[in-house]
Amino acid sequence: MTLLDPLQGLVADLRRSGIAVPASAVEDATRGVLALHDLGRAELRSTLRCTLAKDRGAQRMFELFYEIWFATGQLPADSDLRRSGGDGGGGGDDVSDSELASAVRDAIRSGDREALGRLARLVAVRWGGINASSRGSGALQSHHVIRHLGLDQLHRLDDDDPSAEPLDDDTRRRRVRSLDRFRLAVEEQVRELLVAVRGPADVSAAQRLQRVEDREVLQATRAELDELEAVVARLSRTLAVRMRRRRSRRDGRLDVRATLRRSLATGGVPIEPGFSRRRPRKPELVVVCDVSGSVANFARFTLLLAHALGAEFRQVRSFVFVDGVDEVTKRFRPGSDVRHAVRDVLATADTVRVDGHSDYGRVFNELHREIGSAVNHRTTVLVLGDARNNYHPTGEAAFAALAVRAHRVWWLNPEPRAYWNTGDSVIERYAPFCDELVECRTVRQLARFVDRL
Amino acid sequence: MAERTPFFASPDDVASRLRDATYLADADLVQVTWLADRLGKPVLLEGPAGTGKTELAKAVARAAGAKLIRLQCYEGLDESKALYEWNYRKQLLRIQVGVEGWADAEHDLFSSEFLLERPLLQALRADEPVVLLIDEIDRVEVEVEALLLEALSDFQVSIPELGTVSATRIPFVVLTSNDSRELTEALRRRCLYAWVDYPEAAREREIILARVPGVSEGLVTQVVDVVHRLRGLDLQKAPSISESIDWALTLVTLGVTDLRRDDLLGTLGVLLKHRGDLQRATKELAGP
Repeated sequence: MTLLDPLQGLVADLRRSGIAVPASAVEDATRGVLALHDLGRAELRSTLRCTLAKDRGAQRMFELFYEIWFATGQLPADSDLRRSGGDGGGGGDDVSDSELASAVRDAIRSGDREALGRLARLVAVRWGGINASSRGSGALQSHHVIRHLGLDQLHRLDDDDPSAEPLDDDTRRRRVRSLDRFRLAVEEQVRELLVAVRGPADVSAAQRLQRVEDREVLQATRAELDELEAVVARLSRTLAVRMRRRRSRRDGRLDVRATLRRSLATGGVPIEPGFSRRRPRKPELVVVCDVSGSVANFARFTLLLAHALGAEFRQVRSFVFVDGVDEVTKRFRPGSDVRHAVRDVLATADTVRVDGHSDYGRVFNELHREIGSAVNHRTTVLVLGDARNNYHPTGEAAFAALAVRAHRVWWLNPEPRAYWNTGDSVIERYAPFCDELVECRTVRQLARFVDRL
Repeated sequence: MAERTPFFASPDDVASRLRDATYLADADLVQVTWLADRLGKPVLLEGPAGTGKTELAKAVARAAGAKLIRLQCYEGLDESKALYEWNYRKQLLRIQVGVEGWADAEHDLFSSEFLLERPLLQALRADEPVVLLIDEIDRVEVEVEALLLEALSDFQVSIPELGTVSATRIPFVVLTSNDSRELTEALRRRCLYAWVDYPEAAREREIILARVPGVSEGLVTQVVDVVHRLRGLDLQKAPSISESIDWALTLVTLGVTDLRRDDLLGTLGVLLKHRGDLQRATKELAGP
């Protein structure tokens, strides 16, 4: 059957990207295809998607690979270009480069989806530079198109219009969304053209995909970071349930009153014994996050998780620092939206005392002064940072003093282990005082770690 | 071995019969429904709250003339509430009344008379066509998922005292999840999966027109515009299609034909249920 090869290719690619596609799913997919009434593209896609991709992340990757393996395989005909001209309905060939570019900018400003789709096709053909010798997965060619249009810098959009008023947050956000949509459309079109020219196997082999939870946070794009927020929110709920269950275990002591009360329902015969629950002992958590440079992104998720799990701890105190410490616990009041609070914190916390370069020594000294007495045997201290100290004094004594008082000290380092203790990283000076020192580069690792709290 | 008699003849049949039951499904959902019907596999619908997942199950039941059996999941749901339970109190009373030997008593006590059938068992035992809706399965614990899996794979359940109960006909099973936690791999493997998201503007217009009697096209356009603007904001809980329908209904009931700012701000509480969201929306909409 001619569908079998692309299907096998698609399944192989999904598996390579870390999505489990068991044999039963492939069987279901085949049976589904056989039961199809008409092999329209949309029906085929739906059928394959609902049998092979069983969660949202998988579905997104499925879309990508489906485009590659089940592409229409047609290069754009000249008539195609002529038909899908600019807004005025004129021929694509007649539209000049600058007119096309300004049409794109207008479409992004207005958010007109249909126009964006049409224009994506045109620009991909015109500036993608795709021919038989093109290599790669299409990322390079798409980037080339975007650079050519000057869209990689958003403020360029507004530079053209000096009389425009400054944008408010929501308009800006809408523009960014339009821009992202356009980028995706261009990538899609470039990929389609590449597949037509080089065949699906080549293009998919060049595609390196990962689930967003496995992406290195320090290298993630803005869109991936936003997606990760949703992932963290979901993870926190799963973790909260697991932590709660672990804590409320049965004690083994018979609760006579509860048993007798239950026995009333069965005529005085005690059938269901009632046990007294062990009172849960919740730890106190102190989170200390480095928010300098790229580590700030990781701090975002750690704070999100810590506060989303707030109910599982007796108390959560959070601190952020660069070369000075700022306590931000108050911003996470129970009613407030955690995501906004975190963004607020990262934007406005008062963490720069001297020159904005990390100074762990200063920070630990300050911390010890402020909360040293509040740290006790119930406290868990969680430090997030890369320990890059810019050759300042390390303040180990203060850190050691805190570690001795606390129940446990855990340190999460978002740098790859190979880079520890190179350059100005002084993690080895703090390591002896930590109960655990782990490398934590992806959200999945973060979640696994929090699970052990 | 249980058999599945399909409800629908073709994907078009699915679409048109669902439309008659006032549920407008998009092409993807229609295809998944049809596949589930034909292959006899359960459907797992995941998505934000209020996007019509539960409604689909109800609509399929209406369209196919089948009985809807609903298992509402919650944290703490266990076998006795999902599958079956013996009516202990009645059994105890029966023991106290009877005087015959144990053999007769046992036979009597563990009969269907004393068996409380819960939704899953009801669905398996039914003689007529059935749509089984397992609602909000993400609220249930992992052990219960395992239990459900067992029932959904072989469509049979073993009750120690009664023996194995097998389904004569495979029900149409719909599981819904509000994506509040990750479901187990085993469950996903068992089902066909569809992510049900907020609808596009055109479809939302159609849905509101179909669901809200007496609403004018102009008002619907305004409603959809506002709702889509709100979804673009960074809210804690964006309004979903069920909220749009409620809002349109509210406006029609209040006799609003043209949406003014006062009507809008006054009825915003129908769309947004969090204080922070209300503040942000008011700021955005009351602007220029």
